Amino acid sequence: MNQDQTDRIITRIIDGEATAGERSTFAADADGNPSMWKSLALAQEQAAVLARTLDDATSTACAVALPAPRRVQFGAWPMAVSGWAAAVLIAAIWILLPGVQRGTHDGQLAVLHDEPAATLAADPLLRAYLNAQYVLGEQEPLMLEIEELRDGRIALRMLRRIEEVAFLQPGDELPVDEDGRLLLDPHALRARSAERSLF
Amino acid sequence: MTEREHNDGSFAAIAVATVRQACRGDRDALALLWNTHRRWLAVVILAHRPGWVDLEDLMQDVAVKLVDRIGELRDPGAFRPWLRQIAVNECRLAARNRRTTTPLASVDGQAGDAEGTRAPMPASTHDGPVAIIERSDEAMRLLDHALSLPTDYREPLLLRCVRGMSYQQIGELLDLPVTTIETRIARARRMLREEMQDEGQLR
Repeated sequence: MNQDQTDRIITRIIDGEATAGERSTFAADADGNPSMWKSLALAQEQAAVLARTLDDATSTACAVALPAPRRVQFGAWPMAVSGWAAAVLIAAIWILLPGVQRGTHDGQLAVLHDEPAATLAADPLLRAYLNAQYVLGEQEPLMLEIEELRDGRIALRMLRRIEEVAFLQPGDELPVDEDGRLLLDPHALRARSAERSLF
Repeated sequence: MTEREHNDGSFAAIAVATVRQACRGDRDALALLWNTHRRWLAVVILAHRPGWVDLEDLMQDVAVKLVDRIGELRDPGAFRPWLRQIAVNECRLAARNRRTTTPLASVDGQAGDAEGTRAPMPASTHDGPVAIIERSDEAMRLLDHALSLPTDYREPLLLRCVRGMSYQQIGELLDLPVTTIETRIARARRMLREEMQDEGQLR
């Protein structure tokens, strides 16, 4: 058995890959050449120490967790905000349309009543919407992405979450599916409630 | 589930199914894959990283790449070699970035090279004083010597130290025949043994 063959069989024994025949051959040869036993013992010890040391050296790296996805996909963004954007849009349209149910809302709308619709900025419209009776409030915005633009500005993309409430009459069918999703959009739900004079 | 189980019959099918789920965007499946494979992945990074880059930083970079690119994997059965290639590429990128930004470092001999001499293994940041004292100098020297072996020998040897990785699995990962893996591990061990013996005689 030459040096390469000896090294190879020692490696196979250490790693538990040697066959019974290989182990017998090694034992027979080693009985005639005790330095082979010494080589096996040293190699075994080294393999064990190396495995343990490697374990220690990589333990911190092995604790690294997967990061959350870094950005919302472009295609997913309009979907994610469409519900809320639709609510804001509906509110804006509702306010801008002349003579539509204005009397049913609070004082904020009275302030806006005399302003020409074209001059109304988005923020006052949103404030008016937030003051509607069916709006309970706005939750803390959810940060989606911070991106540096080519011109040096920083773009903060955030999801604004507005909480609304709708009331159903006793006996009304619940417009919610098994997963808790609304089957009617909030506007339709409110319209149905309005028909029953809840708002 | 251990690494070895993943490679056996139905377990292999489960592993491929998990990869498919992860490719479709299932976060739980992706987390399961990461937890299953990160141990050998850390070893691959350790074998290829430039000595001046933190292992943890590179591991984090690979995790980010995995999340970003899992949807691009075409063959779920080739997940391991694909993930290894990401890790190796990140190590090369780290080496290139260093050369680009601070070219003097490779000239003045202060830093190791990705393929050549390596900086000593730094103590893990999580080690407390007791752990540092307990870790024997000899064990650290052994690891340093292992990390100084030529890459072709270093990587299979270190991968073999990962619990449960068979020659067959290492061969699949490196796209090499089992006999080549066996030969390289055997030679790497002999080189290590000789290095340590020479060092012992010098001291």
